[in-house]
Amino acid sequence: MAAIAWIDDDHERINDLMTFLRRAGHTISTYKSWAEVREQLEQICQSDAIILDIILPPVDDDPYLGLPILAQLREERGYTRPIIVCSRVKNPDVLRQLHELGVAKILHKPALPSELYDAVIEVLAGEATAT
Amino acid sequence: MRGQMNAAEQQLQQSLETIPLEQQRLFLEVWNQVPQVDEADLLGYKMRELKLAGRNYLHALKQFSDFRYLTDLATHDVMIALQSLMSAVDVLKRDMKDTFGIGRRWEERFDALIQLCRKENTSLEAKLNPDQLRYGYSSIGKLIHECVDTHIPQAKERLIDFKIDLEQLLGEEGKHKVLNIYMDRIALGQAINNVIDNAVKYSFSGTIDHHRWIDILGRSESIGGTPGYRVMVSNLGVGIEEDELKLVFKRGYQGRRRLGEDRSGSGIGLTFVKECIEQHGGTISIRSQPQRRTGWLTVVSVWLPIHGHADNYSQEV
Repeated sequence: MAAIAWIDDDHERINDLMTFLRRAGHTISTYKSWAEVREQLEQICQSDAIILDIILPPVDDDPYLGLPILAQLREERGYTRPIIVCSRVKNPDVLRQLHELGVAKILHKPALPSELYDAVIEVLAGEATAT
Repeated sequence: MRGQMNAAEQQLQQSLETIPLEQQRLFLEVWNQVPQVDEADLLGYKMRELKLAGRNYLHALKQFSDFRYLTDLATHDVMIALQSLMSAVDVLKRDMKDTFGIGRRWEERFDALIQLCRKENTSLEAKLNPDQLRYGYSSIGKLIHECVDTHIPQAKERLIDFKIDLEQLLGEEGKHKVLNIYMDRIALGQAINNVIDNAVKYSFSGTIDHHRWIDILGRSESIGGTPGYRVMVSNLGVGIEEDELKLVFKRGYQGRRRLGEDRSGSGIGLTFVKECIEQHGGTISIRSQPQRRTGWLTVVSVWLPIHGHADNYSQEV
């Protein structure tokens, strides 16, 4: 079973989305703010996969706070395991940056529990094949 | 409702009666026809979740219609309830598939309800915060081809083919280039998908000797000095009567003429399409005319402005 870190401020909604992942026995830890991510960065980096919302509560008026978090995970922390972005983001520049930062999958909100489950299983299977 | 209604079902029934929307039909279809289950087991538990989500959604809709105007708070509440309903339907669909091995027809019903929730959600989101639309320059031709591609299997089953003729405009150097339009690619893609979906749905089926065609024509056209691009989607099928044409963009309206039992719709599709096209500064119109002995020719015409910008043209790849 995989350990999954989920960074998203919308806790009410993501509970619905976790249904199949939880039922399959995966462990999900949630982080809802930049402050929580900073505090728990070590633990997040131990996860088998990360689900990340790019639009997080603004700090310094940056709506795409998930981008620097993603960059930090990939470039500073050397996190190489799969990262799935689940977000309402549609800005083409941001989407391009997500691809450059090696995001495994992008799901557009509102996503379905089955879509999220299938995406996680797919990227974990790819990871298992790759290693 | 089946048998004796409990308090929750009575409440739902009351909420349903106040909502003149097509959601009622789809929702009840799912609710009333799922197999009887023991509420103590997992599926029964999921059914209760679905009922709860459905009741919350309908309750939110009722409040929304009581206000009779759009408030951010009411819109947000409806969206939250809608997303919850969408998740509950998705979970129930997979559970029923795994437990009862439900067939394709049932899957399609669940998918229709999920699709309806998605469309409604996108429409509400755009109203709540128009800035949420993320605009950028994208190829209109590529977008149309992608939308057509998703409908090819459905059309093929009914022996319908697509004829696509999109004028590639000339770039500054006189070479054929891709025309990029300033758009929210996802929202506009959903709108074009909807138009093509209708064209397939309401077309007559072909025969092995005689396939039917859906024509998609794209041409540059200026309106009032504003350069633009017109896309026309034509099909031969049941058509729309003249008195109905002015109603087709109304929320919840469904055409009188149907072909077979699978031509179900949400009744919000064209409302969403119109809102989306107008948010892009464009227009949409529909005309439908009887042809001699061959049915009705229906043409959906969408015009989108081309905002002058260096990014309008990119090299064709």
